[in-house]
Amino acid sequence: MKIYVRIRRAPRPSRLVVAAVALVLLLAQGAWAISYDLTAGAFTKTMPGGQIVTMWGYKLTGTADPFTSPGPELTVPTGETTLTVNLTNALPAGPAHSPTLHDTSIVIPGLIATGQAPVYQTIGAIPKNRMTSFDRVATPGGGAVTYTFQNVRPGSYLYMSGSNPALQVEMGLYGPAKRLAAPGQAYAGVAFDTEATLILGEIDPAMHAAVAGGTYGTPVYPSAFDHHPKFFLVNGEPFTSTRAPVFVGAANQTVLLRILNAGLQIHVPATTGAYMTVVGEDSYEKDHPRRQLALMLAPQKRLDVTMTVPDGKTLIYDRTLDVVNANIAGPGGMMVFLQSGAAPIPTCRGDLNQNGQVDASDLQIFLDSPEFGRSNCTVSAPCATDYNGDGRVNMRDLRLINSWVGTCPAPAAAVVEPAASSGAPALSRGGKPPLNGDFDGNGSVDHKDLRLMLDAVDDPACAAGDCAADLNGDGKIDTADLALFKAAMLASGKKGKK
Amino acid sequence: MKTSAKKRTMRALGLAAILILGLFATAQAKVDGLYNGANPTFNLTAATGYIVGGDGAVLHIWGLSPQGGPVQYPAPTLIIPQGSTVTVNLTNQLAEPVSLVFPGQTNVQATGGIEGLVTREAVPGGTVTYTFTAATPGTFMYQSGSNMALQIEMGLAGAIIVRPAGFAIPGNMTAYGTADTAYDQEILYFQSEMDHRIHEKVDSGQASLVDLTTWFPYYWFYNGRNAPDVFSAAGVPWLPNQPYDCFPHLLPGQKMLLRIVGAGRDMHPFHHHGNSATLIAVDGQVLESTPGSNNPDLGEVLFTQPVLPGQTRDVIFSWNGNELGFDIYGHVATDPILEVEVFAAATLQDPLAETDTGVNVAAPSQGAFPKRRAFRAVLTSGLATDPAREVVVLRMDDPAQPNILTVVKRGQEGTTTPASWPANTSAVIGTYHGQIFAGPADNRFPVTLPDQKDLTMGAFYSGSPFLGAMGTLPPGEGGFNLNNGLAFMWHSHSEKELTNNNIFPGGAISIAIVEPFGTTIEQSAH
Repeated sequence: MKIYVRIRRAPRPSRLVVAAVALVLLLAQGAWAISYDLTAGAFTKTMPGGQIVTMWGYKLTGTADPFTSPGPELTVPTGETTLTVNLTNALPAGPAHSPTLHDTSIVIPGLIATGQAPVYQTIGAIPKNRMTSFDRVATPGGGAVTYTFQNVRPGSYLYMSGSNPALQVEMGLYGPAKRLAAPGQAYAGVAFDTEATLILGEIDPAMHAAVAGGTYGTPVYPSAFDHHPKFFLVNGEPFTSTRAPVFVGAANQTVLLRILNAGLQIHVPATTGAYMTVVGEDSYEKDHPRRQLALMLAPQKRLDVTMTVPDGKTLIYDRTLDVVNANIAGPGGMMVFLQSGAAPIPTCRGDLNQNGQVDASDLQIFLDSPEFGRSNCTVSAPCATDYNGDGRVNMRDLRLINSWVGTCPAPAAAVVEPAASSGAPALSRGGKPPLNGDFDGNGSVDHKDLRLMLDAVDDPACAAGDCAADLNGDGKIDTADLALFKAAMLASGKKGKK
Repeated sequence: MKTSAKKRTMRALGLAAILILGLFATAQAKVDGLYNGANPTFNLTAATGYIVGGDGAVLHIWGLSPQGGPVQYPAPTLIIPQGSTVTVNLTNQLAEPVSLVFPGQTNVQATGGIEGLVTREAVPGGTVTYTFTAATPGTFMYQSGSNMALQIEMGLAGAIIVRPAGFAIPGNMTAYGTADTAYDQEILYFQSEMDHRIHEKVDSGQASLVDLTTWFPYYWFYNGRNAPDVFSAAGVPWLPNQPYDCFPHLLPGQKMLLRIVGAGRDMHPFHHHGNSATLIAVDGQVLESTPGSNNPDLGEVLFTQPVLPGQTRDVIFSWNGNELGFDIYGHVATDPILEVEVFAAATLQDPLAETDTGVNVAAPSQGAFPKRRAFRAVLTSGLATDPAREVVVLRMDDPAQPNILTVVKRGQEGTTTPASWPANTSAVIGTYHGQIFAGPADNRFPVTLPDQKDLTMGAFYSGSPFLGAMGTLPPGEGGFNLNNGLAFMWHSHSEKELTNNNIFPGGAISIAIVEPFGTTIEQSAH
């Protein structure tokens, strides 16, 4: 029996709600499906040189997050094999000459959506039925489609638009997805210490201007045949002198790089120094990993690469030398530095992706990090996310970063752990196993209960081994309780649906 | 484009000179470069210069010059003994900062100069020093680490060859120090391209107008030369800034190591006509199942090498004429069988009687012999004390009975006299070669060669299909194949790259010559 999880939320949920609930799902083990709600929409981006281009991207539905390209990373938990994406189309309507041009869908090469049904259309004067979408489409103005992908193997994936993809993927409708074989293992036995995703893309500003102006598909810009990119992107950004490096933890650790090509051209990720070891390709493990300095990465290809990153900065760049920004002299384009060693000082404590604020993606990074669960952080082997400095990265640190969401605490400021809750979660279990997680008694197990539960982590009553938040009654509030909480939330959600 | 009438005249004279000088030249298969012994220091200067395209175009480049020498395109090949601590002093005579990176080398340190994006850089007029340890053998590249899209296009890239410990010419020529990486000849294929429009803008002080996103190459180079310049000998005076040639020569059965370096921006499908070849290493890393063994047991047999930008490939090629369907060596039936010709051996099922007209081959080797095609073989006793061998021509007449091989002709090896079967005949050793063209009429299969009027000649055709034989040629044909070897084009299979600025032939063309036995092939000096 398959159980499909819908992330339930209040009509106007806060960003935190969605993030927190989604994160609990990520943690859980078992035969549950993971579900993501994505909305496709347009935004603008200022390129080096000042040019403003219209982009298309994704965000988590219902959040105040901006649209981004690439879209949010979709993580399928280790113990799960089904990924559900609920897609909503908030793109502007297609032009009059091609009204279905902005209909969109999600495909994940290497996975097949249940009930996949290509869309055929007769376009223009040519009496010929042509496929315009690989799967069912969500129409602009809020159209929605659910895609369910089963049998997700460990590996790296590229999700992207399956509708007019030569146009829509170039516009920015792509993002990374992944599944680990086990915590800290890309494939069974292929261990790593930290990981980073590098997703390549391109922008031809003329194409974007044509889409924005409704002239794509007209003699002004007939098709992607005329695609001549001027900007070359890693994770949606071209290189500039101010681009922050990707921090990959302590020096000489094994870093797993998931390198994906969402562009329309072949690129060759390369290093100027250390070797990369190709451990997987297209979500299949390599029997005999090769050590290479330059990698063949055709469009839509996915490579899993491990690398020992020495202290300092290590350049990953495109050896086809798309390392310029339009006609601006000097380096740019498809380049990014990995940085290891001492952690860079972030703008805000907890701002793990260094975007200037602690938000849902930082929570996700926190939970995805192999550091989560470590109990041996030391000065020589520090944990960047051990916020309270107790040598462990645990629920208390999760509670801290959770409490910072939406703010930007100064890195130098003292860490103040939230006061222990005296609320319902700290109440005695009374020997009963009620434990539905509905601590506030409002009839549903939801984000408020999660907050309460995290607050109870430091409660003396719980430390004494008898509190309701300790769902399994083992004397500690830990990830096992998070998993139970999730189950309770699911049950609550199903009840609510009836 | 600065192609002048004078230049064209010089080019014509140059070609004539090749033809005349070439008659006295020794065949070569060698890698030229800078060799300064163990723990070497290389003093290199980045500077501007000009090279000559295969069509006579004068092309502005940025290159590196070895101490006291002219600026080179590509940068000098550095030949280094394994384990060396290498020092590279880079002096900058260009108008912008320049640096070098050494992918795949260990413990690279940069001192002097200024802090750059990727590594330390030499400012105009300044110097920066790099040291590294050439810890492992193999084929590598070094290139600019500054403003890479422009500087590598302009020419700031070169090859590094690290010789394994114990390497010696002759005596112990291996790519990676192990038996399965041994070779007899070696050649470098340093591949690059050029969009001359960019170079013209830089040359005329309009570098700020360069838009590298519109890059579109017009010239393709092997070792810094376009065809037909690749055939001119290394170091010829009329190509002072392009000192390396690309003209491989090998003998039948020899192993040739191809060190292929992708230094440009595009992937080039490098095709070695004549035979498939074994890829033994990529980026200086042997394709091995046991890490560190340098035993290429995971080597791949390929017919075309997709050469990535930034990649090096070590490939071992060999050629012996098997399976052509005719005997390239022009044997008479009873000529000795050459070691390189042997393709299969089998024991005999039954003792051979003098009256037998066929042999019965034991399984499992019977399937190794060709069907319905005559081939030369020797029947041997297999006894060390009785080396008498009888040469026969055999043919499998009925593929349904692959163990029965009819004796078509027989004679003692090295003579024309049929003799008795050797005593205790127990084994057969065969060659793949089929029809025998040469020799006395009664000793050869009837074959009619095409009329000359039906043939298209080429500069590398000797007039004869046989190795080492010269046939008649129409006036003006041939001349590039001095010892009457067999010529195979080794080239990019992106066929548009076989041009110089849209004129065929040119660009990424080279010719490999399989020379007849006895030809002296000059080896690398270091």
